[in-house]
Amino acid sequence: MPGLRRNPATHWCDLFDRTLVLLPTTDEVVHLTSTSAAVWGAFQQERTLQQAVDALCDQYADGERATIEREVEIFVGELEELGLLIRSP
Amino acid sequence: MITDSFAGPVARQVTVTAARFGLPGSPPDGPAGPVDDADWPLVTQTVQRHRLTGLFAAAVEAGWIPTTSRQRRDVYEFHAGMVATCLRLERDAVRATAELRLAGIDALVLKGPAFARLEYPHQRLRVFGDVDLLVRTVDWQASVSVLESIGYVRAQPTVGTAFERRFGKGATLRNHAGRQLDLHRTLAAGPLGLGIEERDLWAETSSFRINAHELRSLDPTGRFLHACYHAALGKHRMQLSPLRDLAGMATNPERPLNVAEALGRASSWQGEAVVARAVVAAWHLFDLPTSELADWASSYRPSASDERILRTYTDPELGFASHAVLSVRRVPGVRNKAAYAFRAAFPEHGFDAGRHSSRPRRWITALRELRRLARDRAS
Repeated sequence: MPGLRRNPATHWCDLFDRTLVLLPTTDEVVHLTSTSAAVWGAFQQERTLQQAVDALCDQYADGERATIEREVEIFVGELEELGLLIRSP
Repeated sequence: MITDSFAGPVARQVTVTAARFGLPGSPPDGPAGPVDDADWPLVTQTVQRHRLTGLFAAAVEAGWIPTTSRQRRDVYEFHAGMVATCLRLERDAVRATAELRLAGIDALVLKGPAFARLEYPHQRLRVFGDVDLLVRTVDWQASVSVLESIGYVRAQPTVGTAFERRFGKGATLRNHAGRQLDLHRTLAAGPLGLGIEERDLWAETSSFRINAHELRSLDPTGRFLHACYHAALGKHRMQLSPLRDLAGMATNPERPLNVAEALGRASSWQGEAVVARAVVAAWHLFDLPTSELADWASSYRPSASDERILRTYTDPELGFASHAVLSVRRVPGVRNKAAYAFRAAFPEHGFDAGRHSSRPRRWITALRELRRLARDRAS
């Protein structure tokens, strides 16, 4: 199953409760919320969606698995569209 | 003494409090309550002008600078804007060094991006407005060509290609987005730059990472000396950011500065007066606890020659001509001296655009400067 990982060409900086990310192919900077930044962070190493959900469940032990799965689904699509996550061939 | 040039007492108090954040000793007396709305625009302009938005935001977070909720939002917004600029500049630095490496050229990252990663607990605390890269003299021309091949153009015509390569400090380039990259051959222009030993800059280096990319910078002593040169030399308003850089480096308990090595290298570069001037200014402004370095700086007495050289960097009425006269003395060999003097008097076509209306005007300005320099010497 192909995995997803952070685009290594991305530059970012944590700032208060946001993460500022420079999009890889433009000069545009987006502000990720702590939730989307956590989802993005889960792909620091190459992972499948299921592995990312598992990692986030371990990280946020008080979170419900169903909620985490839903957030991963929502944010992965957006992050991929922005070019911040890339699929392995 | 470096002159203090804040626009008002409130802006001064807040800006110095922000710059002081993270340094040893007791916190300064910050404002008792939120800054008055009438003073707020000047405060934020001053903080941004001194490139201290990161430390300002941290000082606000820590409660050193009380703010209203609207002011807090402002702090986030303007600091986020600066951080966005820094991210773009970091990408510029990564791309430029990668292209230079592909051409077989080593480059060291100076100041902003390197200081942010190597000298501060978090990159967001140190913002910057351009990229500075150092290359070896032997790689100078090839480096300019590589950068031009990826879209950089010179911000100003060169005084002379050979002059720039042999005696110059560097060149300013801009990319398609208007962002600036200063390509350096050494750390200062004029006589002080000619005193800097190139082999010292490259003998030892420090590595740091910008995300997945490994880059190199000067060693800790080199970074400290560069911060001193940046802080002490300039005709414009005093900048707090380089003073904060050097104060942080000189007082870092986790990696103490090797004072003997720093002063030894400054001495061999004939730059002790520069270091003393910068250290005295930083200790005075930030009210830092006494130290071996501060004691040395406050008791250091520059020679008349050192004072004259320093004045050519700080006196608004002195400039290229006085630099040239004092530089020629440091250039070795009669042929080299002649080459230096010739190009200083007859720069390449276009160099004077925006500086002097004509070549005779350049010479008149030079004569005025030299008369001033001679008067200073006589007195």
